[in-house]
Amino acid sequence: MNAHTDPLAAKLQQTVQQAAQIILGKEHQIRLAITCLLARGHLLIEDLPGMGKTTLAHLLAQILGLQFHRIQFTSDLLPADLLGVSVYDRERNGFVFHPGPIFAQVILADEINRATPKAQSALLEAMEEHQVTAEGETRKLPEPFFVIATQNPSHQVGTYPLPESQLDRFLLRIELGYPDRQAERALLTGLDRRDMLAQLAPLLEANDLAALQAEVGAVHLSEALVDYVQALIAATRQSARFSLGLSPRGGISLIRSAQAWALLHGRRSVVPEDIQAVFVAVAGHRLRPVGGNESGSAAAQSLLASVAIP
Amino acid sequence: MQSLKSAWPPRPLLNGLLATLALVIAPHAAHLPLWLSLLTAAILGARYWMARQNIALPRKWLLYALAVASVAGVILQYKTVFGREAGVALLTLMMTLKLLEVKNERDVWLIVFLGYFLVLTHFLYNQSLFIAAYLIVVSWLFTTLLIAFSQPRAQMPWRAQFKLSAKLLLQAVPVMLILFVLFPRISGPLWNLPSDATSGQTGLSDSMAPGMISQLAQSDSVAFRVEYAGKLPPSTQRYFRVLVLDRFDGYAWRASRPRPLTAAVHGQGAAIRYTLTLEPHNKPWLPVMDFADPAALPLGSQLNTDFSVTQKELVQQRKRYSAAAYVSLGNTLDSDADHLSRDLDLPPDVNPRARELAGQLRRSSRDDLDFINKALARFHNEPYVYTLNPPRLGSNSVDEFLFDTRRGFCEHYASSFTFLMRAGGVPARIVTGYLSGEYNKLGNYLIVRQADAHAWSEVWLADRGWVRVDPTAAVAPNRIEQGIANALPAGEALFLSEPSPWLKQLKFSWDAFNNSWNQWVLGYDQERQVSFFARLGFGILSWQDLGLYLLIGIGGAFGLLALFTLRTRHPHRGKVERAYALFCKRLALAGMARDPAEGPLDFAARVKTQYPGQASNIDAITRLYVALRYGADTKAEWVKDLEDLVRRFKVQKIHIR
Repeated sequence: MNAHTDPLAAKLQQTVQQAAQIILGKEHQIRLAITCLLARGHLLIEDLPGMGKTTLAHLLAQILGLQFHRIQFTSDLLPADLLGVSVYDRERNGFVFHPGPIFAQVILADEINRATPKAQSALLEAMEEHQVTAEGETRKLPEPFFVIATQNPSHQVGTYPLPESQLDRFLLRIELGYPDRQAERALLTGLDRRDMLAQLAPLLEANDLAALQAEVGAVHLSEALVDYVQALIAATRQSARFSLGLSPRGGISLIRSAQAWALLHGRRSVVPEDIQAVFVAVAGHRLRPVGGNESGSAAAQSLLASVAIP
Repeated sequence: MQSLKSAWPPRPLLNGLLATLALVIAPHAAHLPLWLSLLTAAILGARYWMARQNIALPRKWLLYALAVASVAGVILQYKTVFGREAGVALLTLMMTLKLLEVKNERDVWLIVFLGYFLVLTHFLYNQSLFIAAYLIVVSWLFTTLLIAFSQPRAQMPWRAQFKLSAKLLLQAVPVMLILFVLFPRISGPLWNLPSDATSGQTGLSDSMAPGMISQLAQSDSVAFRVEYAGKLPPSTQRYFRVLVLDRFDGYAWRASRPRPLTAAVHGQGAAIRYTLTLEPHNKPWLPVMDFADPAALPLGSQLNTDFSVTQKELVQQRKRYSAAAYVSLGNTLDSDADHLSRDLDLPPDVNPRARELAGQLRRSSRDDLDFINKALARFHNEPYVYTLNPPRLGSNSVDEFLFDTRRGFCEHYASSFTFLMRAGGVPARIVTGYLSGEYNKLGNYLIVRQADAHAWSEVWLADRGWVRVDPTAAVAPNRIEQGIANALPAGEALFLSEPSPWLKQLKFSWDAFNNSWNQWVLGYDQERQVSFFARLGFGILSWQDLGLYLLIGIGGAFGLLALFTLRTRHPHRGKVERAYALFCKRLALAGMARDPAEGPLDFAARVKTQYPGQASNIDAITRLYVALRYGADTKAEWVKDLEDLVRRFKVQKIHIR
């Protein structure tokens, strides 16, 4: 295989390695986050507070050389707080638009499920359209536009869980989880992660990222793998374990993510492992298992083991 | 979660289940007591209503009370809970009651499987083609329900579910045929219907009182069917003997205990060969055409002195037998001469006027034959009427009929004629049986119905033995020549009076179809099974052989099915897939099987840890396979390379220490 021949791909590999030194023991999640960015999707991170969600978002912006804003979602957040407001300027004798924090390349929407549905939908609209409409005027958002939303597990108090239709807007959902013993030791004894972040130099330029994003669609997907994707989708729909199967949009997301994953690993064509690597992150939040005892991710994982690769 | 539970099962599925249950119970309504049918319908209706109105299911104690009450009701009705009738009643009730406590899928499975069982019970009552077709449809519905309940929230449309269940049933057809043809048929108690299964059938009985046969004439149920080896004999010869009644008590004629015939019998002319298929009538006698050839009797039967044929067991299942008949017998049958005096017995004091008439006729006759003819002439010349609805007769039935009412059916004529003969000193007796029947051109066989039941007389002439005399012929010759429907006076319609020729044609083709169903499906017994395989060249098979072939057949069928399924799953396995499959197979044999959901790269990584020495080969094979199967542009020579690499690839078996 012609891996690592592309200079851009080599840069990407380096990026992953850099990031893995700051967030220890979470290389798979870092790869998924970059995959999501390459596939022009948005990322949802679901975990308990203090697991490094914010650090991951910050890190991505930093090493990819992107402009970064963080928005803390609270229950009293209003759409205008996100999008911006027009303020009367006496010197100019007119209203001047002051863009809100959403005008950035990487947005960290922290604890998105603490905000009311009204504020949530303002963000989700921006995610879908890559533009915002405030006070009757439509303004384009910068490119690339990448939202990383973090969410507390929905059983925590004071949360407004996102409905399925809005969860579907996120290409991937990942969980960070506790670090393993060795990684945790390094974390406890090592330098402060935020300081390490500040010292990082960007590895990729904005043009590089755009070029890589354009390449994702060109990654080859063979007929055999389309069969595999269809078999997986059919399994989610026919299985008695799920009350909701994967939508066609879910299928498209699966393919795009697999292509991006393949690109990140220096492959020009998708292999079954690529699909398997992203399947749980793509399908976990789109599937609803019957009964409610099992999480979507766990069910997706076991479904993966039950569908043969054609 | 609670709301989800109460909404289970989903309404459309529940309605489907209720409708299918109604369909499977419906034919039983014909023999279940009315209260039970109504109760069942009420439960089904109540369940529908409860789902519609979202009413909670009844509490446990109410269900227990209902169950106990149902069992009590069944016991009160039948005095037992065993046997066909009570068993079906109990099964039906309990199955419908189960609907009131459907909580989860397990309950539904139970109901559906009980439903399948109920399908089976219908065959205890009726094995006709129609009911078989009906029950196949019901089974199809049940199978569809099983599929539907297995994926309650699925998007699979109903049409697809019906199609899938039809496919499942069709896949079972080869196995069904093999089981049907090969399953050893053993005649024994295991195969018999429950003892109450054959009650309530119509047919001749062992006694004859006025009005009994005319009642039978209203029934169009088939008594038996006859296929002749040669030409169809004329209707005047088609007398089928069932019983001989020789004891008269003043009202009814009864049969004596039959004794086997020991004397040799010689028929005149060629014997008429035929095969008769008798409908079950729960009696031990077998109808035979007069006069039965002792050399060609049905298997396991005996020919009696009165020329009737009986067997030991009751005929409880459709029975098919071959026999032969002589139109007339050569020698006189004097073997039973000792008993002739009994054939003159008459109860004293009854029918004085008939005795007087017999005396008059006797005195004016030269001999016995002349006496017989004079008696027949009286029936012919006096205004006697042949009718299905004769008036009721009192204690002196013969007197009343001969002199007052003069309206009667065959039993009246046979009875009064025999009485006259005995009173005049000629030994005489009554024979009951069937006459002529209806010829089905399509199936080339004769249908004899209960309506063709007939009674005639036999008189003893010293030089000729027993001679058949049919007094009905003197009154209504049409009865003998053209069948019963043509002999009745106008306005007295028998059910069989045919309205139009095409309807008659339709009836004949239906009966012919039904007959082949009876012969080949229901009548496929041990005898037929043996002859079937003998004709195929297997020789005579024992039941052990049959069991062996059965296992081989079913194994073969499943094998073929499996092969078919496996083949269709990989319709176009190319060279690349084959080569890689061989690679996987080699590793599997060595103890490293690839999981079907394991990608080739993951598999290669796992294998390499086990076989580090082969790493380069494994990598090369995997790289080629991935490139060929998933890559964008491939080169044709890579296929060859892959095949070569795989062919040379050898691994040692893993030894686990």
